[in-house]
Amino acid sequence: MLRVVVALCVLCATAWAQAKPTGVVTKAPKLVQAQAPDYPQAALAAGKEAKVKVRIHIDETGVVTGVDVVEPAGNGFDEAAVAAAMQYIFEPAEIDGKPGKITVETTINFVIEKQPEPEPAPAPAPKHDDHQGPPNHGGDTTKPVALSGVVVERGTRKKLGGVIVSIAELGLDVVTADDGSFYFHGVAPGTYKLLAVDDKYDRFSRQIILSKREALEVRLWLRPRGGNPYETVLEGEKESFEVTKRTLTRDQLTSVPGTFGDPIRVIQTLPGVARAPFGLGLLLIRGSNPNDSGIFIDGHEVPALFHFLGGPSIFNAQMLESLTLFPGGFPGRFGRFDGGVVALETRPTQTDGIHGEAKIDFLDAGGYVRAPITNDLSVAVAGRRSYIDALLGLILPAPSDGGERVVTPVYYDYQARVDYNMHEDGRLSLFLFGSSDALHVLDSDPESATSEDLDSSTKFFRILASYERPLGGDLKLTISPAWGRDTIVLSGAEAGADGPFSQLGVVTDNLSYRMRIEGNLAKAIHLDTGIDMVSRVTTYQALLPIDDTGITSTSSVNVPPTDIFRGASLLGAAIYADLGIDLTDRIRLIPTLRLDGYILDGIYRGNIDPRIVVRYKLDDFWTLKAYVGRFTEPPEPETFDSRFGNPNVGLEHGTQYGLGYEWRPDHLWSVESELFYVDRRDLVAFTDAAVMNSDGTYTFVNFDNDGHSYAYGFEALIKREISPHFYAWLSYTYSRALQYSTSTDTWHATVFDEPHVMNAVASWKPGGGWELGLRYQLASGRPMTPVVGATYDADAGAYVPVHGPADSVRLPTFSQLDARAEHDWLFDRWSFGVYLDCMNVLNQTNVEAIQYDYRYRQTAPITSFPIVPDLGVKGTW
Amino acid sequence: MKRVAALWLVAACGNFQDPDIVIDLRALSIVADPPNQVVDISTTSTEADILAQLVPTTVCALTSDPSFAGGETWTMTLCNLATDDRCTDLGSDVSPQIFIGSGTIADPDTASPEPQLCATIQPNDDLVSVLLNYVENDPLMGLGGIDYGLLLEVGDAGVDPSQDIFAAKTLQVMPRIPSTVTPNHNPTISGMTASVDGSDAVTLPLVRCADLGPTNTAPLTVTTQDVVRFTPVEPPGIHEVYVVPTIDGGSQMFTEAISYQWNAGSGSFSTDSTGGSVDVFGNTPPLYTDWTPPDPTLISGVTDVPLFIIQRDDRLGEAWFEACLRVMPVTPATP
Repeated sequence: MLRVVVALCVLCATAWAQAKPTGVVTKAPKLVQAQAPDYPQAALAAGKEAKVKVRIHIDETGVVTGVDVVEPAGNGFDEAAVAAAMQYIFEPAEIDGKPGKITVETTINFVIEKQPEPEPAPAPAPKHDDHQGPPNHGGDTTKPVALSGVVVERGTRKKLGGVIVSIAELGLDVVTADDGSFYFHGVAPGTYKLLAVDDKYDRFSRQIILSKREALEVRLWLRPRGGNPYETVLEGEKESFEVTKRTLTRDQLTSVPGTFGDPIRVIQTLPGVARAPFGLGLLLIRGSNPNDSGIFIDGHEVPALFHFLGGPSIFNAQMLESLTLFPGGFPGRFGRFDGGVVALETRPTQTDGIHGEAKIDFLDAGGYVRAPITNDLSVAVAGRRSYIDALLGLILPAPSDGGERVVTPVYYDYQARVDYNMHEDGRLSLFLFGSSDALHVLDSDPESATSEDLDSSTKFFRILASYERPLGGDLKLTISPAWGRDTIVLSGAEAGADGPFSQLGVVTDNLSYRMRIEGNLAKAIHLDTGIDMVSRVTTYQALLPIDDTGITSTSSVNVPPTDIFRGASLLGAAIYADLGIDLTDRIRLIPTLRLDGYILDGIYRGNIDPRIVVRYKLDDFWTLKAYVGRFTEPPEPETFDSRFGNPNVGLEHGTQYGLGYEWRPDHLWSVESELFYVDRRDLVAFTDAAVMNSDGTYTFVNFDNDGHSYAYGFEALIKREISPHFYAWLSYTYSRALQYSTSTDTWHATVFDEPHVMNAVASWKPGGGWELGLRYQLASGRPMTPVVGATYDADAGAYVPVHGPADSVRLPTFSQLDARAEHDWLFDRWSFGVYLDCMNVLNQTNVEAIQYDYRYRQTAPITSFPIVPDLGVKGTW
Repeated sequence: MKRVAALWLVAACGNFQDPDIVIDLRALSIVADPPNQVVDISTTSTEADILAQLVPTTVCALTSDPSFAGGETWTMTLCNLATDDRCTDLGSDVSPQIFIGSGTIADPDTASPEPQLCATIQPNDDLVSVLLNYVENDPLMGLGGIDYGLLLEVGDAGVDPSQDIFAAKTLQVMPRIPSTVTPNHNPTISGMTASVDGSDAVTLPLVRCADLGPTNTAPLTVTTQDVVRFTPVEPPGIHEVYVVPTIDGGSQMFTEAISYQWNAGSGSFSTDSTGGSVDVFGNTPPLYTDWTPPDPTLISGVTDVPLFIIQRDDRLGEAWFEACLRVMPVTPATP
């Protein structure tokens, strides 16, 4: 006998789009009444089955206002699916805490199931139509619960809502609640087949026996399709305030081959970002220098996102929600940089049970745990430590008898977060994170008259507090203070010395405060305004043999170290406003104004940065965009120091222009490209100039604002958005970055100028727990200045190169293929994975620099990494 | 630190020639006498006043080319090396170039007595033009000293001039600011000791291989299995105390650090530069270096190896010394 099963996979939404583009979905829509579609008779007679993917538009009352067929199946299935979906009733979604319009996508499956002849029914079943209770209750709700249970995901124990649970023999269906629960009332004793269906999970089937005496409670473990699908992203419509932003999700950040899970390196695969040499985590955005681009975590600036020597990210990916690159034209809430911006949004903790992850590979080990404290209070902690120091001890050659040789590079990072949900009163969070990189090198040899003991460390931490709550109307308020400290220490001494002979310590105390109000002022006007304040006090403590005469020494002068204490302070306060105005249904104008005031070591500098963005929507697929804006960056603290810098050095300015388009033919694919031009002026540059004072003494200028550079180019991105089994993108950038040299009065390429940069990334989960990925990089070689000869400097005993035209030749083209394979095994309560991330699988020789012999006659390449496999294991529960 | 760094970098480094070992044409040292001069100036000083205080400077160079049997041609030119690193911008008013001298010397490695590659810089208007060019381009207008450069171009006689090599030496005229500024003197040593495989140190005869003869002192003789430690013997007062002006109108006093550069015709040194200033770890660098003779397979019979020691101070002072090491090949006995 054939039985028709129409599996409703409602609320297995793979994406939703908000009607209000910048709101945050605080509550998903919940299906409260589903209608099984009528199976097309002709298709049924022909034995045809189908899957129809539909997009359901739900208004703020939960009523379905429209249904679009996304992936049609024909044969009458589309019409049947639309007719059924129009009958659905939802509890409305909440956006920023208020009911709002939303769109969900789902798949309706039409399945003809071959059933054996049914055993005699144990008892007459209550009719499905009799059911009047919540959707997770089935049967005759006036009777006691005979069967109840919870649907959970295998491997993670995540409770699954929206899953259809059926008792096949009785034709009873329920839809699980958000906590995964379901109940069947009044089911007579007997043997039944229990089904659970969801389009993101393998079909679940289990035989159960109900006795007369007691109700049965079960737990249904659903296995994700393919074993380990990507966690798909819930994000707003692509159309937004930012003219150009590129957002990656947590899965994308950690699974790109060759990155070893480092988000910064993933960012380096996007258009507009040049390749950094030696795998370093430098941000080289649209021809800017690394320090011209900012890294923000929840709106607060941090000094770095990676450990030393191109090491891994300092942030556990489980703590991340998303990472967004703004290559140019970034919104007013970001400031104090004239390059680009990378913005990380962290992930609030959840109260869905105790979950965690542990990971071990060749370089380090780390873990993450989150747990609820109460229904509204939850906590998460994460950490990682390297053990390269232990491994080095095994491979370094032993010192001679009586000697000592120690090389201990150690890095670690930590994160801890507490979230408190105050419901209609908002949400409160406290987040602590930090990182440390330290290197200790000790080398002593009894046969040598010298010994070395070097200590270096780079540390930072931040404490971020955040309170957000809805305001009147459609506005949301976020208040966020932060405090932290950056510390760099470098010291050297003879082995066994009581203290350092020379030392440099730089400590920066950072205090920042942000207040942001964001939301719709009216239907066609969106506001994003706020205050952005920062206090940065940098102290320098040095014990160095500095020749402070100001007179050029002819060789290595024997100067005893002296204590030097210096300090520099930066106080910055800014107000900003982005106003999104929908002039028509197609044209959005976004004027921005940011007013910055600085007090640099007591001297005030002010600045006004106007910006404007225009987006013109040609149709549902094409959008044109253009922008122009001014961006300002304060000088580095050491440059306005009164002794080693110039207290009168001014702000750096950049003007950015862009013109581009976006084409989104469907919800998975997108193509975008942009022409850009960036003009940077008043750049702080070193100068050896001196001015004579009225008393005949001299003062060195040290730094001035005579630097000037510009960059122009074209970038393109073809992206296949992440879906449960695949994501990919292809990016290309053509860029030229040139700077002016006052010494030669010429323009020449900047040190990181790379005209052509291409990246191709693809990752696939074919099923069976496998994940396979490839990344390919192709980039122009960096410019270099040729050496055309050498002169022996008889006063120094060394050769001095004679250079050709500055940056007039290039290193060879860089080409590298990376691969990653991972296999996950799912158990009921946890999962276990083994991964191999292999950088440069073809062992391509890439030249990163040229080294010369002592008299610059012979050359040899300094190459990038050879093939580097990294094998690791991880467990998640 | 160097040893640890070397361990890490060895894989990335090319297989370059050892700079300590002289195998082809090299300029090893240029000595000026006097190395610098101090002049009294005032707001009313004229160029003639300054010229009158200057004395001629003799400049001599040490060269070697074991791969070439023959003489060497040379040219010396004065210019402002800060703006013209090869004194090649001829005819330009930006950087005047002054021809000092040229000539041909006999083979510096085999001729005896040692050929003199020397010239004299006369204090004249040409020199003044170079000094003025430096002052015009110096942000401190010569307060810390007026540097002028001497460029030596040298090549093997009869060989394509495009194969010539270049060496530069900075000379200096210092205004007597402050009044305690004193001229520098070239450094020197009292002698050189050699200790073979840790034995008692003996005096190393400072005689060139080319000057060896039946009447001269015999050179130090070692085997290819020895390691020789060379230590310069510094005379008292070699570390001069000197004063330099500071830009705020004051002055600062320093004591000279003396460094040594070691080169040889073959073998290898434990370090090619000794002495000098205290390093950032607080180590006072030792004066000695350990020399390992060449592998017996690289020499044929008893071989004389030239040794070059170049001594420098902080203030452009320089001196060179030469010696000869007689190496006897010894093949290690197989067990």
